[in-house]
Amino acid sequence: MNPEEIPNHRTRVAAERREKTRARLLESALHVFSSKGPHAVIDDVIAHAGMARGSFYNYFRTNEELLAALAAELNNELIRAIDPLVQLLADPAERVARGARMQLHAITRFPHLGAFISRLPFPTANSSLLGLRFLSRDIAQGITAERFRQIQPRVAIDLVAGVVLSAAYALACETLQPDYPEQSVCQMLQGLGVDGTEAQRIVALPLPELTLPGSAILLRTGHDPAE
Amino acid sequence: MPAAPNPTDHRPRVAAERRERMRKRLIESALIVFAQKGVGATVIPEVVAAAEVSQGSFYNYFRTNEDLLTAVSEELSNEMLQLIEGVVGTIADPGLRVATAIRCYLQMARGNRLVARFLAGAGMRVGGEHSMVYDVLPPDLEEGVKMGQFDAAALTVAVDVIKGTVLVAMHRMASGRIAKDYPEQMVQAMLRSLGMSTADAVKLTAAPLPRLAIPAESLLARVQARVAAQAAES
Repeated sequence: MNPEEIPNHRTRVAAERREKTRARLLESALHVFSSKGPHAVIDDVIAHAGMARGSFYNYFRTNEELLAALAAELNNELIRAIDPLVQLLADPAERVARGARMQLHAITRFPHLGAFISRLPFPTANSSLLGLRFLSRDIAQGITAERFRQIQPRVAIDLVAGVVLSAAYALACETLQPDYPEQSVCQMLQGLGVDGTEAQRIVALPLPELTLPGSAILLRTGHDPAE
Repeated sequence: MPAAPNPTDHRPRVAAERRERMRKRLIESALIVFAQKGVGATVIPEVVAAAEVSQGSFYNYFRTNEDLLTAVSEELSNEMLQLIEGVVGTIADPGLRVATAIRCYLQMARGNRLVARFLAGAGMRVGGEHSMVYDVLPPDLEEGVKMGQFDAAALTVAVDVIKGTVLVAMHRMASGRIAKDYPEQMVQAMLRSLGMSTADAVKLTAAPLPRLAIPAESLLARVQARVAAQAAES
């Protein structure tokens, strides 16, 4: 056996273990934050994860760091599932609509995601959740293609962020009619300069199914009614 | 037999008034401390000291730092809405009334970054159930639908669309430089999202804004004084 392989193997095992522990902490954090809010303390998270305080600090230094990591992880999970389906479409207006509708429907499907988002301090939610960065990409394309008209890119991005955020918040806090996401996205498209009839056609297009891998934190915590 | 409530017993009312006064005092102290330390800061110990209350009685009013930030922001926001209502109430055209009110709200925050920071920092909670926005906005929107200015279908989501867009605008204005007509552009986008044509949206956001007189005892005036004092120090 090559003597160099032994430390390599150990390093790999250690890295995997580290990754597993981090995932366990994020799962506990989602559970705790979505039931208690972002002011739940590190104690609650380590108690839920059954972990020593000292080892927690090997992963995250502060509550804020944990919140930000969890927001980023949830965003990545959803984007990895949603964005390839968005990219199947050529029309930027249809892309923006599909991305936003799928994000909003995910909130209804995973109530603990909604509970977490609605409790996040605002700029965190704004900068790292709901696929806003990907929506911005499609908005820029739509403006270049003159699909979105008479609107500055910054204004278009802020409009979309505002509509998606407050719709997400409303869906997380109340029971709304099932087509609330479609209605929101329809008004958003009109704000971007798409005419009303066309906006209605776009939001009536069928949505593909959202499939998450079994390892997704969203599936491992809370109850997924789709199953 | 239990005594019927005595109609001349003022105790419950007096207690409620005292409670309200104390709440106001805490909010004002918090406003000053947040203004000095930043909207993200932990302020409870300073607020308790400045308002001269015990830690225990503080927690009868607010449970967390966030609760306090939300309360200050809500108070500030409702004060702004009330001032605005005072000047737009006489505008007959509902679309123009909505457009002018939102422009005033955005311009007030644009002129005072601290206000923008408060409102952005408290996030969606500013538009919570105690917000005056639910009293003033829906009737105007409904009237606009009747006049053919807005789509009826937009009504179910209109308040949320406006709340969210205003919040993101607050965040934008709190954190960086923006074009002079950014508030107008945002209002145009909101009006279009309610079904209005671009031409009409541009027209309704072109009028000069009414002047708002800010009463000296208002929270807004205090924030402004605070900002001026800080500018003089630096």
